[in-house]
Amino acid sequence: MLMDAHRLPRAAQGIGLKPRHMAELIAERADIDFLELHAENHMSAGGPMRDDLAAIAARYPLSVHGVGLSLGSAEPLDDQHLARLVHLVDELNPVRVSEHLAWSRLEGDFYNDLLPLPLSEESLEVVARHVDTTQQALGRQLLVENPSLYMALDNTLSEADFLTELVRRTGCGLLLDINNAYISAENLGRDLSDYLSALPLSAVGEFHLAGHSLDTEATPPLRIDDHGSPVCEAVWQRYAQLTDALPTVPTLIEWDTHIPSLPRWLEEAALARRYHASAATAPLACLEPAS
Amino acid sequence: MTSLAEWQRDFARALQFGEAGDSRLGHQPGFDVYRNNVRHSLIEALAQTFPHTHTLLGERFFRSVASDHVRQRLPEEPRLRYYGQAFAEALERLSVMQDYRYVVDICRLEHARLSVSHAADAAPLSAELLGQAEDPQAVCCMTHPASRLVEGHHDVLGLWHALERGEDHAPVGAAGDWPWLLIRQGRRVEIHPVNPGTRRLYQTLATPTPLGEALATSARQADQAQVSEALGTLLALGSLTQAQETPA
Repeated sequence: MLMDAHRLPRAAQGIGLKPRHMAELIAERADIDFLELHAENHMSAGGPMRDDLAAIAARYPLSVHGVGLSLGSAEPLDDQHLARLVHLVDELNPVRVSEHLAWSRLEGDFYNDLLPLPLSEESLEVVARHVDTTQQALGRQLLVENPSLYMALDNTLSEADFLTELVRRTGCGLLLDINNAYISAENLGRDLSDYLSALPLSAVGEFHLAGHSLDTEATPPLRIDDHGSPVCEAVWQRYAQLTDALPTVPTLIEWDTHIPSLPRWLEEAALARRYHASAATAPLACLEPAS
Repeated sequence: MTSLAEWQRDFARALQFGEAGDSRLGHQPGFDVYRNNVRHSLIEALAQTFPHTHTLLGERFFRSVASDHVRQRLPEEPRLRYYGQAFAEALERLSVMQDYRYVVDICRLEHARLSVSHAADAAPLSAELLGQAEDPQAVCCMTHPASRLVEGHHDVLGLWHALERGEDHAPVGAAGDWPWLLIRQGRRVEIHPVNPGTRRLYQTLATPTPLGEALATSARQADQAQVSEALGTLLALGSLTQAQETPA
């Protein structure tokens, strides 16, 4: 039986779903509120991995996190890829569906990274159109994640203003990746408090937390969003502040390189739960699908 | 001001891995992170798809040819398991590989295995089911979606099984024409050597075809006994399925 699509416990805590942990997660129900999967890894026509995903979906609420839709491409969305995403979401009935403020596709080539885009009225129109198309195809709300940035771009809109207007125009929600916000602030020398206070926080439907690395050989040194280590203290502190303001929002701990054992990952989620203790008396987190 | 489309084309040109060219973007501090992310993640994707090829070529040479491949050919879509479709052909074109053609065979088997593992489910057509049909010759059938034919140049099955056991070498068998049929059975993908007649019938059934017609096509190049044996092999391996509709 699939879980209720839009409800999670207060301040739900989730971890990523990785092939190496699937058997363990199926054999015994882990103490975690939801699992998040990368959509593209599960777009298979059939086979054992798909069977495993069905078994996982019967035991855990899932969220679907896309990394390849390329919402920021100037060219139209890839219809075939969008159809695959719709199919997966229809099958899994996830608690959240999210994608990135980024681009990765151009003229038939797929650049396997979340590439940045200059924020302007033109790019806002492009992204809003693509979010709109996606939400219509999905029949539900999409959360859009803020990027981690390594270089300054010729923006005519600030990222916070861009996301605010994107939310207003499309009714999408935000996936606030606190690690990304921290990385961008450090790499670009922007004020993280100013950035966070300018975001439309009421639209945040999920937090992401992850570890990052520091490239000291770069000039100047750069923080790299590699999802390969525990969450750093500075990001935990921001998380504590944000969960005071948004006590019910679910949190996902990402880990994509140097993936730890399942118990170690669950420890990190338990730590997030302690930071999020203020949520104990808050009402249920609930995101309604876009109409 | 440049349009978003022009800006993205400029960015993509600057991403061409170490060839910053005249793009202003490619020289900005921080740009290398994107360039390295794209390159590194795609080399990793190839290493994950081709672990045995990686073992045989060694870390340094594999990364070198993978890096060249990434530079010449980007994925066409975000599902990275389908990236690497042309990797075996790229390896085969390298002059240095001419004495190591068996590695290309292993590479082809690895890509086929991944495709078979994620292919659609379908009920296999059994001899029993075929026997129950009113007119078995009229049953429209086709190859099972979770099966692939791979044409090899050496008998590498012994090497393949050694690699599967975690060993890094084994004797390579004779050179020649070695067709293998890969079929998903439960959670595993099995590899079966097949004879030329079985290969021919399998290829004939790549598109939905009435069985009688497929057998007649195969019989033009083999005697009846060989064609019957080929059908028996394909049915026993579960490599055929009943097509939904007879083509017009």
